Amino acid sequence: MSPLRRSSELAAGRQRRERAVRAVALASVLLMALLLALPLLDLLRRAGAGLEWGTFARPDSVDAMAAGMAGALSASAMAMLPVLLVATPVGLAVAICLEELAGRRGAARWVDDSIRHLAMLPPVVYGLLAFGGLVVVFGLPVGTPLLAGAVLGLAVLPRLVLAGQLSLRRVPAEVREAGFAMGASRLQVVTGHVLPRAAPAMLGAAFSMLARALGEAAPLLLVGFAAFAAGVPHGMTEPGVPLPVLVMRWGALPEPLFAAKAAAAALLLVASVVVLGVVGGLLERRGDRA
Amino acid sequence: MSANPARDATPGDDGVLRVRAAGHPAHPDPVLECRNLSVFREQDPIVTGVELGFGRHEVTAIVGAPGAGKTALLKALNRMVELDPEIRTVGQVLFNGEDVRSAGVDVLALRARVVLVPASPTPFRMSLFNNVAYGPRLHGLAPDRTELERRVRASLEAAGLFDEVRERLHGGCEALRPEQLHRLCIARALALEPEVLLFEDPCRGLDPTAAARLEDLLSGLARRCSVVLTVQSMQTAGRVARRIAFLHAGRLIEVNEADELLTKPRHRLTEAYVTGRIA
Repeated sequence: MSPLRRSSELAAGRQRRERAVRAVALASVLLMALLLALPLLDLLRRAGAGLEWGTFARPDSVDAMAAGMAGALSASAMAMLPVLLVATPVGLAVAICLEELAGRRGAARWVDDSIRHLAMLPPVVYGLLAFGGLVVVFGLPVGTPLLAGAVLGLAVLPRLVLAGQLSLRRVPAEVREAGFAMGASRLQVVTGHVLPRAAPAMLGAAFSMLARALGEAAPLLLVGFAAFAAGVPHGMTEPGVPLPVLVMRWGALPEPLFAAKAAAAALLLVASVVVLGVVGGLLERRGDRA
Repeated sequence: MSANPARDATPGDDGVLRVRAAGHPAHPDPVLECRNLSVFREQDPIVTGVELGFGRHEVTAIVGAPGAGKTALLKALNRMVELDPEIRTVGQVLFNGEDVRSAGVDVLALRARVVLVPASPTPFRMSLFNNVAYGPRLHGLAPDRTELERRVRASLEAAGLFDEVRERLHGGCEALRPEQLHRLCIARALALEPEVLLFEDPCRGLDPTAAARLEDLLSGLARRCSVVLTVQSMQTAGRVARRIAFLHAGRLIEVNEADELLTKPRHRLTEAYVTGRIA
């Protein structure tokens, strides 16, 4: 057999293997899409009777016909305020401090390692921590958007720090060196050169953490949100149950209409999380191009 | 002399082994002077016991293979090396006779007088004008707009970039070619009107024609300030520099006038490097 002939056989074998790998990759993608689409389609099918205007406009009720999610929407929106206004700036500030200003030794390294470990904890643990810290020690009112926001802010804080650190690490070292070479101080380098480049990725991270907090129910169940709350909360300290908890509560009730309304609320939650993720991604890409 | 620098070494008072470099490490009129300068990464020496003077208004090239310690030595001259927390330096660097590591020295003011131009030309995310004006603004060197514009124009002209960018001074730097980026970074450093310019491998990543043009620019800069550069190629050093310091494995092997070092090297290691037998 000529060397050329043997070579073409080798090439044919290589092509077969490449085709097989591509087929496996494509099948994995299709399987994943199917696994994600099926629950969504099932939600849409179940939500049928629950998808009417009153479900979104009325507050919760013990009567399935009258029950709505306006109160939960208001509570969820208000619970996002502490996440957005306190946890996000604090998390990003800690990231900047650890990554750019503190060294890599001693206390800074210990804090860095601790935050990485805290980020790995399941959110339900934050419910326990929050119950001890926020409810027992600080006495935050149970079942209010204020407590929900505080718990969710606490739960996403370590992840926000990690995401902020990753955004800062994406800025090339040459940018810092160029600033230092001109005689800029560390703070001038960070504020003038590093942060403007890291800001889009930080914004994207903040949006994805907001989406995560919006969909979180586990830590809230541990701090007294499993109860029924009538009416629409108009303040941070008025009783209100966030949307994910409402989905769980309605889903557990025996009446079929509650199950339909739970599916409708879950669809709204999915849509909100997707919108936040997409907006975050768009802002990140737009900032990167600028 | 031996080919192994460690065999010629004698321990100093601090226990650091030193090699007496061949040639003329001292300079009669030094702007910068290293005295027993050693640089360590944690416990590992990068540069050991360097004694070297850099002449005023002349180009000095530090030549050596990758890993020889050129960059560490260069960055020790304006304390940029200290930005790495794992690095520590021992010994003295005298700038106009004053130890740059002594107490009370403002390291940011030092870096504005002894300016490093890093190997990778990185423009700031601002207009071309603002890039060059960055240093004078940062250090308050331009009291008014007229002085700032004068500095920017003079620096761009000295870097040979003004004619190419005069129409888009207030535009971004995205469209600049690699050679223009190098020149922009040189102009940005020149706007500080430094006494010494430190170049880290200045022609890296440039095509031979652009590199040759940049070498001409570097030779000419000695009229304005003193220039120290690191480079791997003896040929490049010979074209650009008046004096060459050859570094091998963190030790200064030989320092001499470029012509003499290239044609009559005194150390076997220098000869081996010049002839390409070691790299």
